[in-house]
Amino acid sequence: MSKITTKRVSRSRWGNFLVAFFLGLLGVFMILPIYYSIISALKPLNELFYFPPRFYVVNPTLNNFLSLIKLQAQSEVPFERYIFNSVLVALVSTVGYVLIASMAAYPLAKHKFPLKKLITNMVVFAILFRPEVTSIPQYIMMSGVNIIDTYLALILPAMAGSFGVFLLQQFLETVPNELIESGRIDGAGELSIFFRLIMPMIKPAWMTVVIFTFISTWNINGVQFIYSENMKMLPAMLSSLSTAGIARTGVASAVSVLLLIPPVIIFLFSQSSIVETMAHSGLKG
Amino acid sequence: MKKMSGFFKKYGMSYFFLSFWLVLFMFFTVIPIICAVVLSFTDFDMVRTPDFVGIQNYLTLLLDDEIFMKSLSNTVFYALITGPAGYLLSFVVAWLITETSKGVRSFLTLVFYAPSLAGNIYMIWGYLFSGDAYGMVNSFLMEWGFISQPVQWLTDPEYNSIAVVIVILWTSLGAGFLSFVAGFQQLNKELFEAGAIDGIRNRWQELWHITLPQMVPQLLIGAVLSISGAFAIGYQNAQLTGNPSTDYSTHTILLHMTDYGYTRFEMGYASTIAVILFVLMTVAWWLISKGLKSFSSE
Amino acid sequence: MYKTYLKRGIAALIVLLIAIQCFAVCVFAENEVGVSKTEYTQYVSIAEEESATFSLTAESDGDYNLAVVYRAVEGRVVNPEADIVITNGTDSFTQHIEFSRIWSDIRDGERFKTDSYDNEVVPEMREHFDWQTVIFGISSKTGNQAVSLKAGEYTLNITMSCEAVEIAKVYFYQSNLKSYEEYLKENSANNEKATEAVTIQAELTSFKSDSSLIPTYDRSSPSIVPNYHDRISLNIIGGSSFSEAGQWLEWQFDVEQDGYYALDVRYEQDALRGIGVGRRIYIDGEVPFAQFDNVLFPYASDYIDFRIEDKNGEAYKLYLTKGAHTLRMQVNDAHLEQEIIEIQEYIGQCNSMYRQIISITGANPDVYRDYYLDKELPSLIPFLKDSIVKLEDIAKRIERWSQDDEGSETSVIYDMVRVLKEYVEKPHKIPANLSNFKNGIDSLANMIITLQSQSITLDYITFNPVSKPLIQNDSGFFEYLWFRLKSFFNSFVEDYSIASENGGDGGQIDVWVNMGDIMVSGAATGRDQMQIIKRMCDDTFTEQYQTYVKLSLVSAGDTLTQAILADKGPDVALFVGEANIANLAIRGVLADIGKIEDFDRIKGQYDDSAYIPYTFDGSLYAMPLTQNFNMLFCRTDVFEELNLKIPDTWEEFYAVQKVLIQHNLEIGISESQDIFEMFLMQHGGSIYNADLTKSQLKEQTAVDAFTQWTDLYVKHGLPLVFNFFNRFRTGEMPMGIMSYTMYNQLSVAAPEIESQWQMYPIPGFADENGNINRIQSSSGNATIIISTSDNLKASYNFVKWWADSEIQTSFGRQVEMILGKSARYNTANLVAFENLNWTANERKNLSLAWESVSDIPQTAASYYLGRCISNAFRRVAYSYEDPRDVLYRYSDDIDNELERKRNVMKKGKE
Repeated sequence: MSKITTKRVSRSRWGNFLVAFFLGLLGVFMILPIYYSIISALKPLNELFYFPPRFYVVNPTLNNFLSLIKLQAQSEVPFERYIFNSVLVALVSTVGYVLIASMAAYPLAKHKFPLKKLITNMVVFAILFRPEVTSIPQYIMMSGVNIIDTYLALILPAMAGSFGVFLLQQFLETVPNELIESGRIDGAGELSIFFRLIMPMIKPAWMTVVIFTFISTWNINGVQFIYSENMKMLPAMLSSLSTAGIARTGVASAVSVLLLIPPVIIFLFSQSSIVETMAHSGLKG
Repeated sequence: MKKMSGFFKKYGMSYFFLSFWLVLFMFFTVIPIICAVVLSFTDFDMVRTPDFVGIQNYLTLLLDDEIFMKSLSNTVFYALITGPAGYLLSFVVAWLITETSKGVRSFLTLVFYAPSLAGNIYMIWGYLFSGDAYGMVNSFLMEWGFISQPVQWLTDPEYNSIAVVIVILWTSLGAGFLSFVAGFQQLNKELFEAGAIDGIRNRWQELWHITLPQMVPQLLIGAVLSISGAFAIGYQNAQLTGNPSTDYSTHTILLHMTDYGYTRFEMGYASTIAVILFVLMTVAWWLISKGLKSFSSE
Repeated sequence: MYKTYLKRGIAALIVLLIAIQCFAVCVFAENEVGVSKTEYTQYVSIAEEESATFSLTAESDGDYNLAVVYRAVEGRVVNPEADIVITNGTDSFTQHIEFSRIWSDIRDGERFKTDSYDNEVVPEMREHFDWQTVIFGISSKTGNQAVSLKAGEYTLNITMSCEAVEIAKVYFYQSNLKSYEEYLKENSANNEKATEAVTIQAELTSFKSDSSLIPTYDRSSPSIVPNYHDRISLNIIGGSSFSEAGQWLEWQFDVEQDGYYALDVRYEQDALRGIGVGRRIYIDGEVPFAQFDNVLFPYASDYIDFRIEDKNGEAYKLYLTKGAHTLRMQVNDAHLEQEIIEIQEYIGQCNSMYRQIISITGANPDVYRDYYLDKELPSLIPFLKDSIVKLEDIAKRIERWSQDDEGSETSVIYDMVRVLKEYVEKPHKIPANLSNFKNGIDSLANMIITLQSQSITLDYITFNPVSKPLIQNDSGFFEYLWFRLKSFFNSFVEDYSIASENGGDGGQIDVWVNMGDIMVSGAATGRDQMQIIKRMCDDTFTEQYQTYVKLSLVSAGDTLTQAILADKGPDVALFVGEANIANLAIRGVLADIGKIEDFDRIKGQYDDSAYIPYTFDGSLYAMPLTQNFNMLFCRTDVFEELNLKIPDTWEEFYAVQKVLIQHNLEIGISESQDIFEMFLMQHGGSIYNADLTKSQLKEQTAVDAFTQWTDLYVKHGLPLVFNFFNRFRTGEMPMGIMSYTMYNQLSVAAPEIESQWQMYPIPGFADENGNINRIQSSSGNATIIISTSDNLKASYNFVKWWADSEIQTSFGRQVEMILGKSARYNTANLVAFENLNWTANERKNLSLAWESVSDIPQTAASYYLGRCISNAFRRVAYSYEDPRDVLYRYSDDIDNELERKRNVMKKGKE
């Protein structure tokens, strides 16, 4: 991403200043609540109750995070188990979804077969449909096959979305057909072509899907589907710790901040992949 | 028989690849959607078996439901403001940060995308807008003499839209924004040079004639996500202004649906609303894509 | 009646009240503190609300405290409390004291009972009624320091405000602790060398002063003894419950050899960072020497082994003979007590000053206006200047205990000093920065709570021969890792469900407990309450009915509906909300509670009003469990200052309001439906007609009620949104109508105003005879049986057992025993209520209020009612529309919805 060459029409200095000012203002607006969360997590108890609330900390402390550690020592189920639960669900959903979505996107992009148009349209339309009202039929179906109170109750629905398929399909369409043809000529079977040729080529796309899926499954609370104590997800357990009493306000802030960190880190590291994918994933006419 | 094996030979692999995801998609997305559509023709109170009532629900919804009309107008209002506004904002911000250096751009992208990563943190806005005299916004305005009594930002129908709009805009820089950032990255530099030579004198002209046409695919996906998001506004409103909000002032179609589904125990009617919502979104999407396509073909 | 109590309270206020200080200092050798063998045949019994007088003699001029030999009487769990007055005619001292009881765990065998999964269970406790000698402070200034008395005769008047005691003797006491040097000299003849250490596991106490001092567990590390990866062992005791001055724990131990021993304690203390936490240590009922009167345990965020040493790093040597001994540790905040008292006093002055300021400027002063505070309030600036000096002095005194330079506790004081200095320099800026002052006061108040909370968590205690060095028993990194790994793998195998031990051919029932509605506090995640229910089941239910009970903790309301729909629901559900129950009952999903055999016996244990929201079509579909109603909370000190009487009628209420508004003080009534219902009922109206088909909101009674309600805000300017807790504390909102459960929050989190507020019945309208109609609405949650349960018979048995007053009393007591005052159970069972730990006065006020409690029935359209009323209210309160018009409009709306839902209600009958 090199800089635009100097032959380009340039902005006046005044314009530059305006731009910077506007972006700055907007940036502050965006960051405000997150910033407030972070400093709340660092506030000692007495500062948390200041009315009106303050945007700065006079005596920052890590006490809230330490309290969090202490509180989890008193849980019957070891803390690592909750982390494991969330990580398992997130990982399996992510890996599973990437795999099957890529596999689904391949024929949709590169093959011809009956119902292709229909399925492609369903993929786009499913992005538009809101899931709230399907939750009751979903629950009934899930309890019918007895997966309530298991990890599958969270993993399987996460793998049924169509946004990932859509992104992958778009990106795949930019892969030149000659490549595939040459593979076929060389006698490679479809599976081999897919795993050895295609997947490496669409890396930015499935990286993106990995990130989006991970971020959304990491935050799953899951209380409607998971009842057993040792199967609970991390956000559920953390929020139950922080709801008990006024003295827990600081801990609640610490929890918000902690839950924020993994998605931010992942986003930072994969930004370039995401950007590249999105560059190729517009909707053609 | 021959036809069958021929069929398999030709298309077998395609279906094989598709099958895994398609099965889950069918089971968890399509079938529940179909269930919802079926339920929309019934009266279902969630504990007893549904009662078939034909198109009664649809008639009631479209002809006799005042609250639906209100929520419809609210939804359109929010969608218009935040859809195009959020869309425009995403675009403008992406455009503006394009020219900074890579590191700065990375940082800025994170800053602007952060609200989408932040889960429940939007509730802080609720806290700031508290109706208490000591709430942040109130005490600020009272200190500086703008108001003399605390304003009920969240429960007064005249004002609660403000808080809601702010929060929605706050979360509007999402995947569409990323799409635009990406799009700006891979613009063809040569066209810019050519443009400079051809007499383009300022940034606006450059934008209109060179940049935009190259970004049509991104514009379209941005539109899809925008519409999907705009019509789905509801959950955050409920958290901030109550469910339902005073006099349904921030009630959206989505909230209307969940209200009937979970509070009033009328799942059949809720499904009807869901279907209508989907139809509306499809229509909006169709209109916009037509518009953008004709624009790109200029 | 409350007037007498008001006066007493104020009298006590004039001199300093120290709310919870009971001081057990050393005791004469003949009277062992603790379980005493001495029997007293002559004693005075003082029942609750009664008083008795004793005479005392001070032999000579000197410093004295008060010693009382007493015995607790069987009653409720809470500690008896009394107000005392000591006078010799000229000098008078007043105090509020708390008597502790004696408890012990019921253990058979070395450790605790285990459940069927091998987890140790929190033991039941029993009380011992033995004589104890306890020393109390008299002084008006401090408690830990004895007060100077002239020789002569004094009388002591004791009035029991809570519970009863029997008193055998009272006398003036002079402390006579020896110093360590003297102690060594006394024991210098003993030269035996001890070689064996003696270790006591702290959780295995022999006696304790408080039922909330329960053993608990920390499963995080193998270094805590004992700890297993696959089952719970109760390995620690203490924590935030072992923190109030006066509480004690006692252990018995055996020593094999005579000799000198050092005292090593393995503990964790993360309550006070810079300052240590104090404990008074008794060996065999005596404090051996002065240095053990207040041993400071420094801050330790993780468990450490600590040897009690003198300033030079040498261990204090205790001489112990072969045989049995006792060790007692008592919470002692002597090192901070004086400062705490002074700060408390100071806060009272601050709040008073704050109220004077806002009577001039209002709670939200105009930034641009100059209020000339220094002229209007001439006492202000001198007060501020004094404050600065006083606070800095207090801070320095607290800091002398600082173990390192952390001193985060005093930073609050310095913040306040900073604010005050700014005020002194720029008095015209005070109104603009008023919130700093208020926040400073809040912070100081919270700091007191922190300083008073001298908590420590004990793992084990060792008497080590002096020659043996102290060992830090920390686990190595790999040991720790291995332990965590084992625990982790175990979590896949272990069954965390809470189920009863045994059953029989009565079958099994699933009981879901709705966490959202139980009050939680401290570290409870709800499992504590579940364990209590399980234990009660094991004790009295499962055997009798031969039924196996499985308990689950469920958190969301929708989960229940969803589960019932998918046929995965429970048999019984506890603590379910009214709205949920209405929806389920109307649709025929709940069983008829009236069908419980023997129902009439239990029926009378609950107020009639409690059944109203659960009755549909003449049948009862849920058994009430909790019931909330409103009370009038008043700051008695502010009322006294302004010469106001607690209002009994609405007329008086408005009169009070007029006065308060002149001083810019506010009243807190939240804009919720139950307030409207209260007004409606008091005006004689009702929401629905008799057969619930139409609303009655167009009647004149409804319009009057609605107008009165909205007028509170429109005409009288009551605030719409406010944080009652904070404002009540500072006194800027000295009156409010709140659910009586606000009591819990105030008593725990606002101790500095402990004696300055009271709860009264809400006002009403007086009729010609002077009787006041205080009728109001209530709310609560209940127990339900799902009609599709496979084991209806067992379910009915369970509800019958659970709803009985004996079980409800036991549950309430145990919850409060373990979780403390803030978790006081708001039971609906009238008999159980009598047995909970309210003081006589509070019980009286609550009972009086309860007589007038009613409720409105629930319908299928209840949710609609709620939102219509809320909308109607806001139209009037925010937009100033005409109440009558608005009410009429929404009344039609409600009627429409009722009509729509009639079909549903009809269907329910099928």
